[in-house]
Amino acid sequence: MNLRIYPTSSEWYQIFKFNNGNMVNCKTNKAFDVAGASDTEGANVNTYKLMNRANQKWKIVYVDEADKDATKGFNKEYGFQINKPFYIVSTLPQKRVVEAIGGNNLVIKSLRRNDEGQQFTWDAVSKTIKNVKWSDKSVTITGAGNGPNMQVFTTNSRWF
Amino acid sequence: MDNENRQCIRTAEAAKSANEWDILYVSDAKPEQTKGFSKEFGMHIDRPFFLSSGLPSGRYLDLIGDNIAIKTPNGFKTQQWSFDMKSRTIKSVGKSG
Repeated sequence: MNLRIYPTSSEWYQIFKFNNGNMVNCKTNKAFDVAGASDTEGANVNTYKLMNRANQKWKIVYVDEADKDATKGFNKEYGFQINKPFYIVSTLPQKRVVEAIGGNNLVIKSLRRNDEGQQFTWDAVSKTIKNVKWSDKSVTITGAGNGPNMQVFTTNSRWF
Repeated sequence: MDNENRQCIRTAEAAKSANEWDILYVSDAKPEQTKGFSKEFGMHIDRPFFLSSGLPSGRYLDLIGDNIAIKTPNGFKTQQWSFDMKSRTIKSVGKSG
């Protein structure tokens, strides 16, 4: 059964207990379950018969005890310096750089050192590449990941 | 049967324990726990938390629209949850619904 949020009613299908690393329903004893044990971005979460496998195991990390995100230094997983502005330089002969035109589409243009629309940073919190000029926007594949173009779009940390 | 949402009926035939009742005046009722750890539910009350998957990447429970999925920690409050003792439910911090 799929999991989603819904207005609070306190019906049995909204009541869960956290026990031994499982989040189980008070009536059915079915547990939060990552569908297909798929450890991928955006994998769906269901409830399923308690199997005690890794895809049903969870750890509660209280926000006030969670590790703080790094604010500087090199992130090995993503390959960027954190919060350090950079240009994205094409290796084509003219070595143009990527620019966010009007806070929207990404194109290559000749380097202009004072134009922050050509500068990007990698943000360790959202895990996205943000534009310096349009700082609430991140590099995004259009069409929710299905389009051909690249643009900057309001940061949402979806996989695209 | 002692089940949540069980219908109450009028009958003379029911087992004795099923048709006996106590009156508990509201003023005499034990106050509800409003903070700290709930042993019954296994969560701290009104203390925001992430729910980290036991799969190797340890992604967090998150919302995509109203649907629940796992995603890389991203700083959005849609990854934060809080146990509400009054309703006995787990509420989204980032999105009321």
